[in-house]
Amino acid sequence: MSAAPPGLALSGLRKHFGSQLVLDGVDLTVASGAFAALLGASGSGKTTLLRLIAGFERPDAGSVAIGGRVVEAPGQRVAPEDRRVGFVPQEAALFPHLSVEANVAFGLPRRRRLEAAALLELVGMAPYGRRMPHQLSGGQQQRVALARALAIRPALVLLDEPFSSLDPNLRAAVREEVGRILREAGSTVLLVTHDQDEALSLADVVAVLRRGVVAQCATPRALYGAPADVELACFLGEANVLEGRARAGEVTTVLGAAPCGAPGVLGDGELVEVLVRPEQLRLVAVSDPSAPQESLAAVVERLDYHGHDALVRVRLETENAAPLVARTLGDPGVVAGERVRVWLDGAVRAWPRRAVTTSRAAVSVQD
Amino acid sequence: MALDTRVASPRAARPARVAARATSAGKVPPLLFALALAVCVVLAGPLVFLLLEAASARDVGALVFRAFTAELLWNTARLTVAAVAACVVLGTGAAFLVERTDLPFRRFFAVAFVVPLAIPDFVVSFGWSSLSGAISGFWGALLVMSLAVYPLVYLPVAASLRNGDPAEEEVARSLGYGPWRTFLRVTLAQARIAVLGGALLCALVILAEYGAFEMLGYQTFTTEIFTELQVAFDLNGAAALSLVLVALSIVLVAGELASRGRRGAERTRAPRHPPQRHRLGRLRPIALVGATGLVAGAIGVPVATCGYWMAQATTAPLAGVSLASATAQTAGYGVAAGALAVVLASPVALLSVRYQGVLALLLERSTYLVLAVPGLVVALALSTASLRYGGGFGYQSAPLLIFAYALLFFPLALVGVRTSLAQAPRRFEEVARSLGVRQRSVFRRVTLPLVAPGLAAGFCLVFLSVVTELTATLVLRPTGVETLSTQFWSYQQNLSYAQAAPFALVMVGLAALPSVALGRYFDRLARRQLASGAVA
Repeated sequence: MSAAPPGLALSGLRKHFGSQLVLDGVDLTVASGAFAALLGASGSGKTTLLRLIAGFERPDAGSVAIGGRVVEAPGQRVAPEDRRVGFVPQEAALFPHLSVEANVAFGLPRRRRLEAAALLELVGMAPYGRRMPHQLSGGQQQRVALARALAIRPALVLLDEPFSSLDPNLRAAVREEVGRILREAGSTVLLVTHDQDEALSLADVVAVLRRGVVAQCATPRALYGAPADVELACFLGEANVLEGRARAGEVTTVLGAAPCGAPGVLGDGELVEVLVRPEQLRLVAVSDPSAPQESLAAVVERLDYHGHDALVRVRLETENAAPLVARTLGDPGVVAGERVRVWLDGAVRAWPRRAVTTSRAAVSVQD
Repeated sequence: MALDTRVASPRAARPARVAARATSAGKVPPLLFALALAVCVVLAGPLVFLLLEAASARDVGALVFRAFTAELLWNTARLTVAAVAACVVLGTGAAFLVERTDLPFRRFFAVAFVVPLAIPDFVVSFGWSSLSGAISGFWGALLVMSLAVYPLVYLPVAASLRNGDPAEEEVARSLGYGPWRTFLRVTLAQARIAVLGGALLCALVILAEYGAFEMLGYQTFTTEIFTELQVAFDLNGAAALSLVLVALSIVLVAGELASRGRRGAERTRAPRHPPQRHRLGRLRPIALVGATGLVAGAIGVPVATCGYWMAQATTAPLAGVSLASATAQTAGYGVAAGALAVVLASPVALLSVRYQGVLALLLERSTYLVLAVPGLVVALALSTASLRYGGGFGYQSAPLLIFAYALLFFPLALVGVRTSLAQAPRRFEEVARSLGVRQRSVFRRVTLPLVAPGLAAGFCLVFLSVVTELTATLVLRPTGVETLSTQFWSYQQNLSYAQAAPFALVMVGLAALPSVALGRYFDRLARRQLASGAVA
């Protein structure tokens, strides 16, 4: 364990509104200086969690520590203004009656007001200090809100879906920019989002909030490649979930045998659920000689072309199987109705099959 | 407290606890709730008192159910219906011309169409009736009230047309609707709530009007109540007639609330671009003449008549207070009542904006009842209460009059305070606190600056209403005190038009000042919303 206390430590946080239980014992630890993302579907309690950390709401139970300092625990509470938490709300919430510069200087003591200019410089908004918030675009407002939060040299920065209201074109740029600024500032960051791309690309560590608890907390690669269960696998991107049988570190599915990783030890001959990411499926036109021996014949049912890649839905000819989704980089070179050959490349992930999931559709595609 | 939830079974023991703990987001501070409740009780006071009073009168049935009541009812009803219809046509038409067509001098008309709000109905009435004796009775009353009251329809409809989503009209056009059908089915439908709301206000004003009708010799419930009260000193008779008047008003308010409830949630997003303007083409000169005629009738005639009579001032002034002292008196009352009304409105508005719940809604809605109680009835209830149960304490005293004004114009203050609170959502305060600023400083540095313009708007609305109020003032003013309106009234009653005119003009000037400020405030608000809406 490192000597420095964690940047953020949540333990057993519970919160309910009326009869609805929103958070049911959230535990989460973020290393000091790390960029963490909290990923969850809408209504999963992400924003509530942020508000508990910032101190705008009180939890029913549990504790919050920021940089080793307990700010919330039974019988103990630090007021929001004493937590040194830089909060960047969803709609930026710049004070409409103050200029950009005055917004940034808002949390600064009088003698440090001049630092606002440097902060505006940091977020690339230096020329806009005298503007009023309503004269700025959405992305500009977000940057000012960030500068305002950083002004107090926060121990922790909280970002509440800060990019969701931006145009898709703008989003990537602002996202990248904000990520860079926050890394340079070196503070611990918790970003709340429902966008997996955003979480996976920005954060050092991603926590998935599901039904009021943290279902898994891991690096983006570990999370995507080795999700804790099938439901998480489907939540984190397109997934083919196949039935299979385990044997000696391998699983056998309709696609043949493949090396396999699993959260625990799988018994020989145990029925398993197997995760095959679309990018693990390769396909070529049936006439293409580069297809390996073990490839299977299939028919293209549908094609979703995205420019940089394409999702191809195919149905195996060999068996009365459910359709599979494959991802190809760039133009797949096939059309709907065409016959292709499909094969599985690389290791897969498998879990012991649960009774409830047998009726689940074999393919789960989020578009 | 926090620990034992973890120990207790997670779901079983919950319901009992919910009521106590679900509240941390929307927990209503007991003090705030108590204050809001107290305000509502105070507001309901006159109405409740009136009911008790009427119930205790022995011959209330005989007083209500007589042929005379039927005659008054007929007079009141036909004028209200006709004048409201005229106001709806004038107000909607004017709003459409200004907001949606290429009418020339639109900016001028946008202001000129609102100015009549600052001209008391009895001054419009004075302007027209002193022009010709023929302007009297039903048709006179219809003409005067339409010209004096139509801005109450114009204002909300213009706002609705300005903020309505042009996308809805564009979609209608793309679905094969012609411009005329689009106007009827989409534009008017969007403005429906505004039209209804405006029509309700017109009807309530007409029901409560005294001065204008008295001058025109047209008898309604309100003029008759006034006569019974001030001339015959018949409290029971006045109270009985008031019951019918209040019942009429309540039916109107309830009807409007019910019809509003049927439409779903209001659109919350600001439009992305201003709506298209229709080209008037050959109709342009006709529209211009119509708009000019409306302004001439509603502003030109009263102001010109007052100017004419002032120029005729040859006789020595009659006994009365000086213009300066009446102005000071009026302004003083206006300021005091405006401040009091805003203070009273604050807890109710805070409760309804910040802690939305059934209770808050109920409390807020209950204040709408005040709308249904005409000024004369408030004055009647307060003076009776003070005479009968207070041993005359406070009767015809300045505090009671100011209190009556604050009650009477409470809904106006509430509108202002509500709008202002909506400008300061809680998230600004949260952000401010997370930036390390203490709660008290947050109020001073964030909440107050955001709320202040709206509070000032509510204050201005009450102020200008007080300045132009006549009926309740006549009943409740302290002995020997004359305001601008009462002094105007007594000169006018003595046919001393030359002496009356300057009081009317100063009154209009005093009321016009806040109107201009109000116009600018709401204009800025709309533009800011348009700007931020374009970003989001």
